[in-house]
Formats: sequence, C-alpha cells, structure tokens
Amino acid sequence: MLLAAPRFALPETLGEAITALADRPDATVVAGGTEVMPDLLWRTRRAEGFVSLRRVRELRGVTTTDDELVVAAGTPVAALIHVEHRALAAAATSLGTPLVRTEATIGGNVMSALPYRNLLPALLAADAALELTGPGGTRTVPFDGFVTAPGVTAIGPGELLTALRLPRHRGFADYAKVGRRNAQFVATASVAAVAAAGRVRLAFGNAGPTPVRSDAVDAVATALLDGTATPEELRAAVDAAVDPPTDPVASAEYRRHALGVLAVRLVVRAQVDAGLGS
Amino acid sequence: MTGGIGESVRRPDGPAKVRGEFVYAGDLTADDVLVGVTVRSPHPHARITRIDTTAARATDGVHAVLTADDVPGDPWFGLTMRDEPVLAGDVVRYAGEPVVALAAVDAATARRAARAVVVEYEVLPAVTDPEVALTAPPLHPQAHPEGNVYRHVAYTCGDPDARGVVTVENTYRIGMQDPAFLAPEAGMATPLPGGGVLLEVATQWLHSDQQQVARALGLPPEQVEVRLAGVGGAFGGREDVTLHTHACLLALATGRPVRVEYTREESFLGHRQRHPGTIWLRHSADADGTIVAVEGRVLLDGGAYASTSPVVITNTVTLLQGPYRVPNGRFEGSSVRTHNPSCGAMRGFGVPQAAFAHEAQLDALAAALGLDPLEVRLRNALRRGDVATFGQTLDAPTPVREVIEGVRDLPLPTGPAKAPGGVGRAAEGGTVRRGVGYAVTIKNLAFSEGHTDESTATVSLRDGHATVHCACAEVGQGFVTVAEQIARTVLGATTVTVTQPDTLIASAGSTSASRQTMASGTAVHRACEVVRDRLLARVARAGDLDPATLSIAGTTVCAAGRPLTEVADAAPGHTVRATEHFAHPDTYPLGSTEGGMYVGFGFSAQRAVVDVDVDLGLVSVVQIASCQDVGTVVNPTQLLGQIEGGIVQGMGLALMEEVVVVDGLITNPHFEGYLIPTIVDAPEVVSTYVTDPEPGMPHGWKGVGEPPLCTAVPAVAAAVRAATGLPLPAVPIKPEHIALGLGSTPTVTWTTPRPAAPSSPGRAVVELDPTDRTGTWDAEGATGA
Repeated sequence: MLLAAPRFALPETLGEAITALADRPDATVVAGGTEVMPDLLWRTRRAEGFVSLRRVRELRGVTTTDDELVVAAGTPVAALIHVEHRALAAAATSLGTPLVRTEATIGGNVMSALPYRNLLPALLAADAALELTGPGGTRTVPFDGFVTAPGVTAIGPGELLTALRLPRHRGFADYAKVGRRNAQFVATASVAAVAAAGRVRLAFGNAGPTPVRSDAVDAVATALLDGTATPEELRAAVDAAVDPPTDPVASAEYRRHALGVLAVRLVVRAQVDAGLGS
Repeated sequence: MTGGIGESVRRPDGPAKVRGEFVYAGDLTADDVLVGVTVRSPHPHARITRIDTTAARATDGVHAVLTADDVPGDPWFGLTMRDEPVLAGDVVRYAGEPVVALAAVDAATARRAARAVVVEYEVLPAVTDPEVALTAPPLHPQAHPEGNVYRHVAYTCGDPDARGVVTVENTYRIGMQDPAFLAPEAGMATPLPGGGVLLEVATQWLHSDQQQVARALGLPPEQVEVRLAGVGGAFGGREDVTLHTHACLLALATGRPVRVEYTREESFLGHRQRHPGTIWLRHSADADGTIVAVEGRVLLDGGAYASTSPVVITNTVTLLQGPYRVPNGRFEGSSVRTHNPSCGAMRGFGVPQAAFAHEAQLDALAAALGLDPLEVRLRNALRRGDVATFGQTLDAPTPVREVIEGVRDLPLPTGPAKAPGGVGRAAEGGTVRRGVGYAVTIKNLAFSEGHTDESTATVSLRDGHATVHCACAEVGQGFVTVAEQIARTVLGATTVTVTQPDTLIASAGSTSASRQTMASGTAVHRACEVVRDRLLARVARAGDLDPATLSIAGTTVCAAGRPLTEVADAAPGHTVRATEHFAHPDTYPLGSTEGGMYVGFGFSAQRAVVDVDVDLGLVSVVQIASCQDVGTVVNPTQLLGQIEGGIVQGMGLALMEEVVVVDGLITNPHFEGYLIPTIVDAPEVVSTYVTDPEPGMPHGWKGVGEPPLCTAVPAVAAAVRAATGLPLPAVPIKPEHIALGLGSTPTVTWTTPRPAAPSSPGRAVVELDPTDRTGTWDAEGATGA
C-alpha cells in the first residue's frame, strides 16, 4: 500500500533509494523520523512526499578499516554509544532519550544541520568525511564546510548521505554539552575534542550558525596540553573564534563563557588521559 | 481492617494507568462524532476587522463554523470577573485567544477548514509590562472600565515604622510556570434530547464549568450535564473553562457529538499559567534575629483576563510574612491586566511567589546578623494562638518549630553525587561545590475570604458493597483511593466503588487549594456515618437490640463489642443510602472583624542539598528532606506521592520551568523548550511528618498537596545560594545567573532601634496613598531575570 503511494517510497536497496529520490526530487528524505515527524506534527515543515530509508540495509552498520571508522548513514545513534571514537560515542550517549537514540540516525543528525545537534561538533573534531551518493556515483567531501547555514548543507540534488568516514582514533576524544536540565536536553552549547600525536583539535556546537572550529583555537589548545599556554589564553582564543546566538534559552555572553570553560575542561581531560595532568 | 484509613491502599485506577488502558478525555469517542478545532489570534492585541468563514463552511465535511455572533447566551465568562469572551468578536487581548470554533468529520478536515477561515486584524499596541499596565488606560474598558488592576490589597499591622538594629531588603522575581500536565485539554459534548448537552471533560471543577457553559449557551444549568472524563494531571490549569463551551456550542449547532482535544501548543496557549511576579520585601530585626517589622509590595502579572487573579494576589500579599511572628507590618500588592497570557490557579496559588521572597529574606537576615538560618527561623516561628498580620488567630495546631526541628534532624545524603549537568558530562574537570539550604512555609488550605468551601457525597451500602458518589474531580491526587478507605473504615465495606463524578449531585467545589480530602473526604465520612447508623438501627430492630450497643469493627457488626454478624450479611438485599453535606466554617474578607480569612494552614520545612558547577552554572539537586504538617497520614504512599511530586514541581520552578513571553508571545509552547525535571533531575526525597490532628476534621486530616511545592522553590534556591555565594533573587535560576553572577544583592542597613509606637493602631486594612508607598521596584532588581 505504502509502496504504491506515489508520494511515499520505501526502497530496500541504495539503488532503489537513489532512483526513488530521482523520481521525487522534492521529497523529504526520512530515516529515523525523529526530526521530520515532530516537524510535520507541529506543521513547521511541509513535505512533498517522502523517501524512507528505513529498509535500506546497506545504510546500517559500523565497520573499521586499517585507517578509518566507517559509519553507514542510517546507523541509529544507539549503535554509536560503544564505537571506538570516544567523541562520537560521548555525543551519541547524551543525545535525546533511549527511545530517540534507537530511532534517530547519524545521517539524520548531520542532514538536520542545526547548530545544536549533538553529533556535529564530534564529527568536526574527528575530521570526518562524508560519502554522498547520487545517480552519478559516489563522492567524498570533508564534513568541515558541509553545513553552510542552520539546517542547510552542501549536498547536491538527488544525492543521499550514505556514510561517514572518521580517521581511526583510539586515543583521547570527548564531548561535553551544557543545557537547562540534566537529561534529554538540547545543547545550549557543546564542545568536542580529539587529541592525537600531541595535538588537540576542538569543535564547537551552537557556537555560530554552523559548526565551528579554528586552527588558532587548536594551536592554543595544543599549547595548553603541552603546558605552554594558560587556560585564560584558550578561553580568549575560543572567545575570538565563536559567534553564538542569544535566544530565550541563553545569552550569547553565557554561551561564549561556557564554550571557553568546556574547551579548557576537555583539554584538561586530555592532559589527565595522557598522564600529564593531575 | 484492611484497606482503611492510614494504609497504603493502591489506587483503583492504578493498574489501568500503568498498562495504558485508562481512558483519558482524549480517548473519548462516539458514533458520528465530529472533531472540533479552534482558530486563535496570533496577536496579543488587535482589532478584528473581518472574519470570513465562507471557504471554511464550503469545505466538504465541515458541519459548523461558529463565531462570537453564534453564542446564544452570555458572550462573557470567567471564574471571578465575567470579562473573557467565549469567542472574540471585536478585539483580541492575548495571543492564542479563540476567535472561531468549527467542527468537521475528522481532524484533518477540521484543520484544513480552520486554515480556510479568514480573520483580518488591525494590530494594536500590546501592553506587556505589568508596571506600565498599572497606570495605563483601561485595556478592557468594556468589562473593566476603572483600570487594569484586578485587585489591590493593602493593610498594616502594628507600627510598620518600628525598627530593630538591621533592615535587609531586596526585590525578587518569579517567572511564569506552566502546569505542564501531560494530557492536553480534551472533552466531548453530546446533544441531549430536550435541548440540553452532556459535556464529558477533563476538569477540576464540574459545577463551575456547568455554570459558565450554561450561561454562555443560554440554558438553565440543569440542561448542561458535566461528567468527569479521565484527567491526566491538572495542577490548577484545568480550573478555568477552555474548550468546554466551544465543544457544547458545536454539539448543539450540529446535533452531533463533538470532541475537542488541544495540541500541546494549544494547551500552553489555552490554559492558565502561574502568575509571574515581582516582590519587594524589607525585614527589620533585632540583633538576636527577632523580626520587628516587615514591609512588602507585590506586583503580579495577571495577563489578559481575570481568572483568579483577584484571589491569588491576596494569598501572596498576606503570606509574605511567612510562618513567622510579625508584630508590625505594611503590605501591599496588585494583580494587573496586561496583554500577556492569562494567569490563574496553579498549585500553591500565589504562595510560592511569597515563599521564594520571604525565605530569601530570612537567609539574608541571618547572614547580616551572623546567625544560623535555622536559628533565625526557630526564633520567629509562629505558634498556636498567635495572631497573623492579617488579623487571623491561629487557633489550630501550628507546628512550625516542629517541622523545622523535624527536618534539621534528618541525616545528610551519603550516596554518590549526581554530577551537575547530568548526561552532558560538562562538570568533569571542573569544580563542583555543595550547598545546603533550608526553607519553611505557610500555606493556606481550602477556599478563603468567604468563598464557600463545601462538598456533598452520597454513599450507599448493600451486602457489604459501598458506592460513593461525589462531584469531586479525580485529577490524579487520589480522592478515589481516600473515599474507598473512608468507606472501608467507617462502614466495614468489603468492596467499594467510587462512581465517576458528575453534576447530578451537588457541587464538591474545585479539586484545588489542597482541599478535597478535607471537604469531600469529610462529606463522604459523614455520609458513611449516617449509612452506618441506619444499618445498625436496622440490625437493632431486627434483633431487638439496643442500637447504642452496636458498632462496626473491621467488616463485622459487633454488639457490646462481641461479633454479631458481618456487615455484608447484616441486611441482605437491602440498600442503605445517605447524602451528606459538609462546609467549613465561614471565612471573611481581609479586614473583616467577623472572623478569619482562611480555613486553615499547613506548614512545611525542607532542606535541599545541591551540587553546583559554579563556572558553568549547572545544578544537580542531590537530596531534599521534608518535614510537613499533615494532620494525619491517610495513605502513606499517596502522601509521599504528593510530597515527591510537589518537590519536583517546585525544583522545576526554581531551576528550569519558565514560559518565556516576548512581546506577548509565548516563545516555548512545547516540551522541547519548556523544560520540566526528568527522573535524572529528580532528587532523593526523604519525607517525615508532624501529625497533630486538625480540629474539626475526621481523623484530624488536612490538605497536603501544595506545601511541598511552595517550600521546594525557596529551599532549592537557598541551597544554590549557599553553594555559590550569589544572591540569586530570581527564579528560575538560569545557568547564566550563576556563571555570570547576575542578580542584585540584598541591601543591608544598620538602623537605630525604634520600638513600635504605643499608639499604633493595631491591624488595619488601608488604601495606602500611592505617593506614600514603600520601596522601589527598579533600584534593587534581579537584572538577570
């Protein structure tokens, strides 16, 4: 019944999904539905049909190669909680509720592209790449720069996000967020950190219209890890790099403050992990 | 006796609720049922220049489209003032105000038709600052030509200018809390033969609904039968009429049953919130902490329509004194009309606002004098026989000292801490500081100031099975359980059915004000006693016994203490029935010399233990210990449920719950933006009780539902202050208030003692000269609020 509906496609293979999207260029792509369905209920989104990816098995699963962690885009967030990459795992662990994590997918979180989405800073700090598949084949783009505005990405017409590729990382990586309560909350601000070969890479959520990172911040963070910079210097570097919003949840001033505090704390955790700190 | 008073009897509706089988109002349906929806104003203030329903009426499947012109009876309704239009006809006064109601064959058609309704508005300036509204031209001249103040209360006692060695003063702000019940408003109206209508609705007060709906429909009240539908939480938010009249109008217009169920957003827009407010308080005390004088001023934003604003303000103003002896005082306050969402009843009814302010003051006083916060509270604790600032003698148990000592002696938490920030794991690597804070409150119980507080119950008994009929709305508080326990205890009933409340019996009043065990419980108790006496008289006649020697013990009828027969076998096949009424003694308006304003009071003390990540402003409430004056423990499990629920709802107001209104528009009408505590946020609760029976009440029971909320707000705030050293004069406390140190510190002034003038006039209700008002609003503000 549903399959026969012209406005609703339920493909079972990636090829069928690409075709279904080509047939319905204006359709909304839906996987877990944890964003799309509430939006429809609240009428904050209109849909000219749907391509559901729920039955596309190729889009589920986590695999590792010698140098990459490959997460298929339809993998539910709940399946990320134990992945090797601890920043991604930590961001997944604090996302929504157990019920939401079971349905929500990593690809959906990325394609939502809202500044406060949990996984975005983790993927940015991890230097992830994205696999985009369309009628013409597959291309790989860096996640850095993929989100171009709140809710907007550089995905091409007819393309699906099919996988996320993270450089393998077994060392320190972490993610932390602040909000207005202690579970099931949208990040007021969030920070992810990855430390590798003595260098720290930080990324910031809800710190601007798109996920934020900067070489200048990473240089100071790395110096802090080495003990050659102070926490105040890192906070100042963060302050210069971010442009957070003011909204009814929090002021930009608080967000700037929290982003700096979280950045310092994550570097301190990295120091502890490396046996450098107390 | 099993299942009687004092036992943790399980709720009769518990299994169905746990299994998901309970029928809530939103589950109601009927053959041929239509779905009603509401078209609402998007503007907080506008003139309606045109309503065109042609396209909506022409939509297939639409059966009725109603506007203000289709209201056959009184176009105005309201709980206190009749100032709210059933449907707005010319002017809308808040964003979300109903303008058109329509019914169609299904929800999708109804929503489509609603979008086809054309309403054109001339947007008018909205007055959203209550301070401005105080002196602005009337916002609603039709109903309220004299101005925008719903009620102004002012009185003095003793010599308000008396002084001790120190005064502390500050201005406190309380945000707008939403009742946030889980089941949105829902109901179904069904036309009855003869022109009447049956309304099944999730409500707190069936007879108030009946009166207001009948008036709007132009029907005598008996033509409107209201029956309680399954309620999923209320907390005051179902005391006002919302969809009730619209559903009935649509049912009568179409001749078919009409069901209406609000969306979550409509629920936020359509029901009443807790009044946000600003309270200025100045306490003067002697060096040992004895309070010499208190001055206070309150401004509550009542929003667009009156609801209970004229009543709430009196609670706030009179209970500014807290549970403390205050010999001299000057108190004043107003609730005022604005173009913000209407505020009305919510659990605590004006007292959480007062409690937050007076408890912050007590701590500020203790700090200024270098005294222990509990010592200051004990030194000033009200006792039985004391006279309150508002003139009422506390002639029932007043165990303020006892609840303070009760909570003081409870052990501090020993379990592992819950990190501030919870699952976000922000606190790791930072510094977490623990804080401990105390609060003590007084809450008036039952209706006040001459509002009749009464209930009626019919109880019948046949072969050991009791049936209780009462119009008391079960909203989750557990009256159904208590009524069953009473029937078992008094009648020896083996089984009990509590029937669904309706308006076929006299009013039980509202399920609010912590009042239903006292009012409806006592009515049931009385009816049970009459049934018992009739049954025993019958047994006496049949057995030629002296009825005075007969009694019921457990489920057994005894003669001179010896078992005679089982209650179930005492009068085979015969039904004994009685209807009894209960009303509390009369109460009187503030300032009356005839008697007190309030039926009674409940006292509560709590100690909150919090862990705070000061740099990020994140809080974890580790434990709240409570000692409450409860009269008697009717049902330990249900009592603990009230304590735990009140505490969590109170910590919600203290830390996160706020309806954020910007330019008259609610910015967060959803549970993604309006946060209530999760189980991760909820603290360990340790609960103990003072059981000093309330005079005049069976078993000495008294209301328990509101005090735990009133106390949790200041207790949590005090603990966060203790952890941070910040003044935190506003709730909810936001992370940025802590992290950025926002909010002004109390002003401490050392004064030359000045005893009360011997000629001081005692107590007086006065209209203070506006130019002679005490305090200022702007100087000592919570700038972060």
